[in-house]
Amino acid sequence: MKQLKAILIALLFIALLGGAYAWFFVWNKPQQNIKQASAISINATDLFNAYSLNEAEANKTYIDKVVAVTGEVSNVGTNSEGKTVVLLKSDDLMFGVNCTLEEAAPIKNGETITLKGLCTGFLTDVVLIRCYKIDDAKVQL
Amino acid sequence: MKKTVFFIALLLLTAYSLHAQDLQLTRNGQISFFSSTPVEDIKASNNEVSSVLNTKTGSLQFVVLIKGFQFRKAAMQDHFNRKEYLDSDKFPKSEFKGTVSDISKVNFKKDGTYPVTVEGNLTLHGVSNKIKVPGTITVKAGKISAASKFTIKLADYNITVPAIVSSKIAESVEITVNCNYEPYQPKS
Repeated sequence: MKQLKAILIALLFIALLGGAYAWFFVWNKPQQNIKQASAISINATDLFNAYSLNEAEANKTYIDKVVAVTGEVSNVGTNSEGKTVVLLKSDDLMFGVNCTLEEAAPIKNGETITLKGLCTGFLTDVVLIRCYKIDDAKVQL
Repeated sequence: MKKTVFFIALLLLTAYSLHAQDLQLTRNGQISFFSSTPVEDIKASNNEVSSVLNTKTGSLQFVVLIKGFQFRKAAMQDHFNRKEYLDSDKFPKSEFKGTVSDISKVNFKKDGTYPVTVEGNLTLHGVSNKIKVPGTITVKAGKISAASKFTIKLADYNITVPAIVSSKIAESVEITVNCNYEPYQPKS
């Protein structure tokens, strides 16, 4: 009887430890690795048009997804956290794809580049966060 | 194209007369929030806030994407977006529409930090509430920025915190807004 009790206590202890470990693991899992994730490739104009035509439908395809967007840079700036922000042109006069870069990269107005990042939805522009500039050679459109 | 026409129409509606130089825009404003309890501090920020300020009429708007709030821990971010909390699949955006009620106190031609009062409707989690909060408008070398810090009660926006985690999430969260505006320059 005593032995059974000891075994039960030991089992309970192991289960608790396992539970704590699982909880710790889940709670501290890292953010998604954007750099290594596979991406949906699209050009900035097509992405913007998909959103301005039907936002709900576009969200089904792109929101929370890693997207590699190719387009012409129309503005480069810095946000209040010191991160580089790049606006990619669409065929709209004012709006396009607003990308916040995770790591700085030399980017100039007028050049055509590809940025890979996480799509969070549509305001006046399509918004991409945690972006990385990727080499043209790696992009297959 | 359609979006621009809509946007300009909206601006025309909100401003009695449209003078391009009166409009200040940003698409990279910052909104962050902070919830503090003895057990856990939770902080998240969003740096892709869209905002329009009309320096003449004081009309002020903000829109932000809920999924764009970034947390230190991925698990916190998952929880935040879930049905039980912000339900960002159903309510992807939060917005504020209102006015700086004492915009006339701000001299946009003179450098300085001007305390102002902002009133309007804040929509979050599909619930709209009238709010009145303090803020500042700063003019520096022709550049305009706006800042505000205020608290909201989660219950006012139908966000109920499950009892099991109530020790970790405060009933009221502190919201901080920071926007550096650029003058609206229409392209012809």
